[in-house]
Amino acid sequence: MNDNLDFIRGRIRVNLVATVYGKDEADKIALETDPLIEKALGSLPQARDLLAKAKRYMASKAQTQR
Amino acid sequence: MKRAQRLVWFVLTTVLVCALLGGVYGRRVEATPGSDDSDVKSGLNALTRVYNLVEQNYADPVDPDRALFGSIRDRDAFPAAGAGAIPGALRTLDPHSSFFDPSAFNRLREDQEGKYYGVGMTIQARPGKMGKPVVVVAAPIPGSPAFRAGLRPGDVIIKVDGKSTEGLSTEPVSKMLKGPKGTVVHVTISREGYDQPLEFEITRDEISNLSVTDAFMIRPGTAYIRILKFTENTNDELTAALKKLNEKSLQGLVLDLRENPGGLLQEAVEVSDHFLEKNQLIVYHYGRHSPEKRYYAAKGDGANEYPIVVLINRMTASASEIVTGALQDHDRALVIGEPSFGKGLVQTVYPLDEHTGLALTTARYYTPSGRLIQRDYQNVSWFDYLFRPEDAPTPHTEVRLTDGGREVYGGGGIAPDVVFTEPKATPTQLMLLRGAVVQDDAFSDFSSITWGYTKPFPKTSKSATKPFRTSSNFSLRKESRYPNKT
Repeated sequence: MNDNLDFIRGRIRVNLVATVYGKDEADKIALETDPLIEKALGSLPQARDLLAKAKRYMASKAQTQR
Repeated sequence: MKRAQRLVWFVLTTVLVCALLGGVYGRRVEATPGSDDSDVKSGLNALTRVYNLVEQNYADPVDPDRALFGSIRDRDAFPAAGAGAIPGALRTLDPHSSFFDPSAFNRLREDQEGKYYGVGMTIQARPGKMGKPVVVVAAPIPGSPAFRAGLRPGDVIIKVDGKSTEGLSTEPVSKMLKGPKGTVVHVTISREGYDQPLEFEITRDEISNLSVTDAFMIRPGTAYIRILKFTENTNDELTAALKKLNEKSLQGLVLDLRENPGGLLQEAVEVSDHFLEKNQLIVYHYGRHSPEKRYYAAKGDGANEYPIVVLINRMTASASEIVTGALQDHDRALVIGEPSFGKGLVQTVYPLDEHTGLALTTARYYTPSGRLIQRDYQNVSWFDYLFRPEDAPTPHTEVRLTDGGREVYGGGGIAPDVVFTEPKATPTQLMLLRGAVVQDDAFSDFSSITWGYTKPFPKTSKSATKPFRTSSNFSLRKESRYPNKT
């Protein structure tokens, strides 16, 4: 059970917030512990690089075609 | 349904079945001129004979509605069986062509319009104390009549307008709660901590069924937006959300499309338009009788270049795959999560009369790089197609290049740039969530019991001032038991 304490605490918190303040507020609380959200936030620099690289690639391709 | 009406429906069904079969085997029919009329007549005769024999000789009375259209019960219990003549005929085509009976057609229209008239809460069935199923309030929608009246998650609905809900599923209870705007519905509920049932008189109102369910700053400078489905209002909702979040100042965006089953193609195009440069291709589609149509970004992103991460999972499908595919192919977003569902078929909805409709696959769509992301449905069972096993391989049959020259794949949904599988629940967590300890989810029980003894909701709560909205991003969304909006 000790391994699940964080999970249990998180669920109780989310459900209490949902009961008292509604789902909208509970959703925000649930997202705080969503591992994919953490991953997404940490990947924003990679997303920035992706777009920058693509723009450079397209620009060089356009230049070559001229 | 009256006998005359049944007969009309039967004839219509027969014609429809034959028309569909004619469509499927059209080339064969064309190859043998002169035989198509006789094939149709022969099919009609066979179907009529079978139906007459069944109706006259079957051991029990035959329900023609169920025989022709199937029933909600059949569809829920035996989805692979294709219950009903019309759904069965359509299922021979592809998994997404379908017939909408009045109830399903109404739900479709509500979903597409993004609004309905009711009290504004999600309800769901769960086992009651004596083992009999009961219908409970899953969550009142903040700001809705149900919320203002003081209904709470966990409240058991025992009567609606004096009529007992005992033994009913969520569908009929949902119907009872819905009604014209301004009418009053009387709801009797049982709540933990109260000996006697509580009575509520709720005036029905228009309930906005929002598709952009969450939009807020998750970190300074970084916005989080969740799109749950694509309805007629999705683009307007996204525009409003981005304006509220001061898009010009954004340094990053997390666009959550997990569990998004899709919706209207046009809305997917307009949502993509927000994030792409003007004139970039978003999607194109064509079919046997549907000439190629291309959709481009008409307005463009206004030179906003903040980085975007799109989140997808196995239930990200159709219109949400169009958005994901467009942003991925133009390298506008990094896609993280699990391979998406893989629905690359476009359905056109043909209203058959005021209350029923036919969704027929008329085209296949392709991402800007030319990927068809439709997953194979011809060599797997209907069940395996809809509920893809977690270990099912993701085929990479179509390799295409993004604007930046990266390889991307089609043929099996959108493959994420970064695969991230959400951690699985431990056995203890599953036990707590699935009600092995108590009758239902342990946490919602805990909350409703604990707060059952308290006074009504704080009236000053921030949520109470927000517009009506729905959200599936509830803590237990994957475990929810067919919640129904009312």
